[in-house]
Amino acid sequence: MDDTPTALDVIEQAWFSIRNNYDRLRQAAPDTGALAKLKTDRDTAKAAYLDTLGKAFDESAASVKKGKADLKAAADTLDADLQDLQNIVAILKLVSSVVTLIGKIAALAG
Amino acid sequence: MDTRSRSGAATRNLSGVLIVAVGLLAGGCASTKLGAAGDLGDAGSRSSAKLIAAAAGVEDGFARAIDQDALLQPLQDSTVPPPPGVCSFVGRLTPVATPLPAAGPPSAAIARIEQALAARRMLAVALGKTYAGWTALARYDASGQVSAGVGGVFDAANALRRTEGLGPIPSAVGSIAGAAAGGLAGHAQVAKLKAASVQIRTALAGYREALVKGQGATVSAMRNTIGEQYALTIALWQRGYLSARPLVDSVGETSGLGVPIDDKATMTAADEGLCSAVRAYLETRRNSQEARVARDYQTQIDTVDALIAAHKDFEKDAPLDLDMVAALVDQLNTFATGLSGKK
Repeated sequence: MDDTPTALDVIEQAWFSIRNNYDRLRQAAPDTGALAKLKTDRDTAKAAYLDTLGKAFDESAASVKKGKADLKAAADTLDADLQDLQNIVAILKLVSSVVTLIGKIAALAG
Repeated sequence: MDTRSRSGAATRNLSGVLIVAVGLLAGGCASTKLGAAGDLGDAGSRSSAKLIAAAAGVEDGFARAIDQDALLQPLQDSTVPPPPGVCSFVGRLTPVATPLPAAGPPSAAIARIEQALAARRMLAVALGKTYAGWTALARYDASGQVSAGVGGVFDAANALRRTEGLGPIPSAVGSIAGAAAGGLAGHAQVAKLKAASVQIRTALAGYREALVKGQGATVSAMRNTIGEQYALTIALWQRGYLSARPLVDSVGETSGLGVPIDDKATMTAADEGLCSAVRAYLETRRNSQEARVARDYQTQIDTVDALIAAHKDFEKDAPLDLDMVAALVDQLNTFATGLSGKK
């Protein structure tokens, strides 16, 4: 397994670090200018994280789409198979009814 | 009757006996196989339900994290905490004179992630539908219905023969023929299931690929949910908006102890010692949850692997090991409920 950090790993760490330690960072900020910069940094890290996360999901979008299509095809085949079996049973029941009907007609004619 | 016609009749009789024998034999094998197919369908349906819950848990968790951040950010920005070295902010926060306007959430990125998470949930739903179809085919009593149908044909034929003054076909012939036809129908049903199994196994391999490719992103989204919950809880706790009473109560409950009835303590972060202890507890819990999510996600992949293996066994008529699937599904249960935020 490749342990090299991905772009998502790096940006995730930056976002989590600033969010989870935000109060501590504000405690250490010397003035209002530093507070304002901290807020901007937080917004930037959050936006970058969400953007990178979205891109990471995009990489698996094609396989999700294909997987769903394959599963639907399998479900459709199963439905058709069940329909086939039900048709066989229905035909047998029909044959039985037809033979019975012929018997009744023959009895009436006789 | 000449020798040739006697020989022809004997061949026809032998063929009939062989067809009946094959039908009866196939019926016996098919019923065992159909039972296994039904069990595999149940295992697949249970797995799908848990995979859907897991995917929905990530989806709900992400939405909750976005909502929570909308509360956390203004809460932290409106005041400046006391200097470092203290845990409790109760009564010690300095309001910010002119708060900076809050930046709106990056809605395009959020919508894109929500769409991706919904697609992953729908993938699990598709798996559930496939197993519903599999189970319906496996549990359909084609053999019984065909046997009854053939029996009905013999009864009807006998009714017709009576009108023609002919003797009835012996009932044993009808029931044997019915069982044989039922056996052949069961055999055909198994053949359909085996072909479907190959198709499902291929689709499961695709499902697995989607899980693996989305592993980094999904695990990150889960860690984000855990981290957001932690950050908001700590922020509210240190400001005195939360009480530790339920936590203390639950600890007392498990050890048979209780909070004194006349205790008027509010158990907030105003108590510096309690503030630090609860903070350490929440940090530990967050770290343990973060460490667990990757493992839990791997359990989803392992569950799909176990289903693929079960389908392979089904196709080659080997005994199915569904205990492994059941054990993994049990683990998925704790995973799914952990992140959804729903009780």
